[in-house]
Amino acid sequence: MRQSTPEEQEWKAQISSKISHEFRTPMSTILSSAELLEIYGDRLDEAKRLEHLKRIQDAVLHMTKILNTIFDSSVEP
Amino acid sequence: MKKILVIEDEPTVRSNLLELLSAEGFETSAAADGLAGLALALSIHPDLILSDVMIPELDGYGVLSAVRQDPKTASTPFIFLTARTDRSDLRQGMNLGADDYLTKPFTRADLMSAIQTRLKKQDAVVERYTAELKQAEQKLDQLAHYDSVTGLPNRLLLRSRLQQRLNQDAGGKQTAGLLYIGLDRFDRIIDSLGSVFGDVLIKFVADRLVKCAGSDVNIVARMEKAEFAVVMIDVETQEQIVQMAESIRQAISHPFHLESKQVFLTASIGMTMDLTGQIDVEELVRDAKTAMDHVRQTGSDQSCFYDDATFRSTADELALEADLRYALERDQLEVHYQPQVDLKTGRILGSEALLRWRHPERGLIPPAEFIPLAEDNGLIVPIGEWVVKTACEQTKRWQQLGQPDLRVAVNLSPRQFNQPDLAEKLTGILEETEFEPDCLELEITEGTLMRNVESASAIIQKLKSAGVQISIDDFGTGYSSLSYLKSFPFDSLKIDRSFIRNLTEDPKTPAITASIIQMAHALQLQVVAEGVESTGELSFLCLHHCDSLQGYLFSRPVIAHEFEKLLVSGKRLDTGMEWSVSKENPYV
Repeated sequence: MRQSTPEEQEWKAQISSKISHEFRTPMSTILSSAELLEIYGDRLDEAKRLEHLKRIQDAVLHMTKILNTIFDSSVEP
Repeated sequence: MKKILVIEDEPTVRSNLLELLSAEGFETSAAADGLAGLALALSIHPDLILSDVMIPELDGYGVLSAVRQDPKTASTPFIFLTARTDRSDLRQGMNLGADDYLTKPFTRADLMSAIQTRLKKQDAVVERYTAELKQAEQKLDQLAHYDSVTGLPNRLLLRSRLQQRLNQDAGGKQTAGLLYIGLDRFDRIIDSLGSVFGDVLIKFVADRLVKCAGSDVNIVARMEKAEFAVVMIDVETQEQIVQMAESIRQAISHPFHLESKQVFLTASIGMTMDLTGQIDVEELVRDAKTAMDHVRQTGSDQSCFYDDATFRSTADELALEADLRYALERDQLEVHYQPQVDLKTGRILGSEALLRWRHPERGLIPPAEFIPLAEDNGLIVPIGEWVVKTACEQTKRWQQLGQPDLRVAVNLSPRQFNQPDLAEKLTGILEETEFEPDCLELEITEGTLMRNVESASAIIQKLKSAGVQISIDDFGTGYSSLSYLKSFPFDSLKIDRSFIRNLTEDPKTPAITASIIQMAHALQLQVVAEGVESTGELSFLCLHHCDSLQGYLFSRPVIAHEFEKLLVSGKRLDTGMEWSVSKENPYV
């Protein structure tokens, strides 16, 4: 395997930081909505419960879209 | 209920956070960008702030550093929420004083534990602060009540002691006599002896006075450098007081032996008494001192009784009073401005407006001579209104020249303060002059407040709701304890010049002054030092984080035109420290 150049390393670092950031926000929503359902679910009304389920689904769809964008486009520098 | 501010731009993350926090029993507020978040933080003073790092308008670091600059939010726990995981990001936040970092996604348990830890720690800090405040207060009360040279009660304690004695004797008719004793030519004697002997001599005098005063019921207090008071409780006749004065003058006339030297002193004594049963200590002190001054003017080394008729309406005062009635309409009154300087920047942040009377024949008349007259006959009310209006108009003009936040402080006399329609009148003036209410500061002395604490509190509330700032003037000279400070919503405190003057002379004054500053800050008051004249005093004040000062060191009170020159020239006080903010002069 060839050694990557410093430019390539920098680019990889930037990309992974960006991907990490793009994913962490929807993951945050998923985790908190799931926890709200788990812990306070019995106190929430039906509309509110549906809203959290919707948030989880939207966040997953959003992440899927990001993944598609990454793999559909060229990832070479 | 603890209040948490959430600053987060992602709507779902924000909404989930708010839901979670309110489910956990917190009161919540939220903002979607940094500027809105900062504005909220500074206005609602939350107990804790949760902020995303990457937010529009102003990023989380910007919010944090701005929040840390404001004294009211400087120690508010601040937790970053971030989707970034770089170590360097983390360090940047910690260096700015963030308390914790949560990386997204975080669990409810992580969040709650971070919040609880910070709140618990903050409570501990507040508790420690309260304890320190209490200690400082006790220390200050102790230092502030006894004279350090003689161990005698000072002016402050004299009042409470007398009150205590009178209360013990609540059944009988309460009477008291007061002798005000001034040592003649004391300064000159000390000049020739050397100042080290001053304190020793004062101590000897105090010992003789205590011996003369005799019984435990009577109180001896040191009032000024070379002035004492003896209060006699339950006197029945003037004769008793005159006898006391004679025995004091006798006792003092015996030579004092200081090492190999013999020193001869004389005393001028003013006397007064109250048989009405409604004893007002301030009145007793004032009358006896007036009588002593009269003795001094007519040749010293005598004693003399205060007599209303003789002292109140001397011909001279009557003439002055007649002239004063026309002073306003004849344009003889002037407002002078003494700059107040911000100790952090060295720049002028405002002024104290001071009333002066330019009498056509007698020249500039000191305020101490005519303000009491105006206070007695009620002229202070229209004159005071004129001062506020003039100061607001003038300061408004200066604000328009380039310093929109320039402040002005105006003194309120007891009579002005107690006018029933004061707040309405002020509001009228502020509207007429289009002056920002929070740039106007009203200075009220402790004495004014203490006349009637309850009504004073109501008046201050009313003034505060008009939007003006309130400052307590001449702090430390009144008779009050610190506890009342907390019950009034002041914005700032002015340390009396007597403390500043004694910083380098009296060994205990620096400790008292430092305690006053510390205590004022703990109560979130701005501290202004008055009468600062030397760089030594300046460095003491800088060292103890006093907020601002006024005094000859920077500038004496000057006429409006001169003050404007100071503003335009951008004159700064060299505080010997680096200025932390922009050095630009807004007037250029």
